[in-house]
Amino acid sequence: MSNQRRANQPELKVVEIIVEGSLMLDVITRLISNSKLIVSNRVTNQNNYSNQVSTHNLNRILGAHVNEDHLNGVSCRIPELPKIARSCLFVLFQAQENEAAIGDFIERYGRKYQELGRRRADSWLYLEIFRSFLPLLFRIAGKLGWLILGEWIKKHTF
Amino acid sequence: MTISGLTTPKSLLYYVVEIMKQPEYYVGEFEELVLLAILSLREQAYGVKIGDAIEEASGRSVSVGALYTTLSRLEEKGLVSSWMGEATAERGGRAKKYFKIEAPAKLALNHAETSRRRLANLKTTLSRG
Repeated sequence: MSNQRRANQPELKVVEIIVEGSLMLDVITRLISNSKLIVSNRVTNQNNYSNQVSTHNLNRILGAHVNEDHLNGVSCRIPELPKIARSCLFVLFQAQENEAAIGDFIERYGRKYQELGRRRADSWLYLEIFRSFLPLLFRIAGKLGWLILGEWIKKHTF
Repeated sequence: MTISGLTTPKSLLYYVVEIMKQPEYYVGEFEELVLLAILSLREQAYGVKIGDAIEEASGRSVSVGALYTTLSRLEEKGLVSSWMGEATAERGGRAKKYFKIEAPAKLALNHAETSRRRLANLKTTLSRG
């Protein structure tokens, strides 16, 4: 690439855009045509899922060369758990475990999301919550069981 | 408590509970796996890593609920202790809970290993005879 062509290239700045999922590319295109701002190659939608826009697509939209070295400092948001899943976990885990256990779910969910994509990661998440449900339910039932037994003993022996 | 003193249902129940109570160094199979995973991870033993270590070693998939139920039971028995670590972005800003084993846990693991070795020797003796 000649020096003159390099000098004519727009100055690259990295931004992070939060948009509705289906409007992603429309917003990117509008921003590019209106200004010299270049969006990062990762954008997040309002559900906080990270979608990677390839460099090739950016080149196509921009009509310019995008140097990936300029695209630094981009933060990839880890997807947040669905609300129903979070509510279930709050109910099942004890107060002191909540934060750590939900954090573990998020970490594993993020990994599965990277490996398998959103839909399969969501399926994995709900299956994992279902699998976690039984041991936690037994724990609650065990404590309730002793409570009920204790009350029965008090009633019939004292 | 002698059997002759068991005249009421309450005292009989207390006697049964005393017999059933196991020493603290008896651990189940999954509890033993969890303790060994914590031991192998040293200072990096938190939920996800413990689960990964068990899956890698035993080939068995571990749910978060089963793991935390076991960890809380081990903590109640005094075999492990925990502390909260740093929050990270990959965990949605939630802190990790680290675990380490205490001295009674080492006793429990030694006891489990000794029992297994004795039974293996017995099996060898029986198969020869």
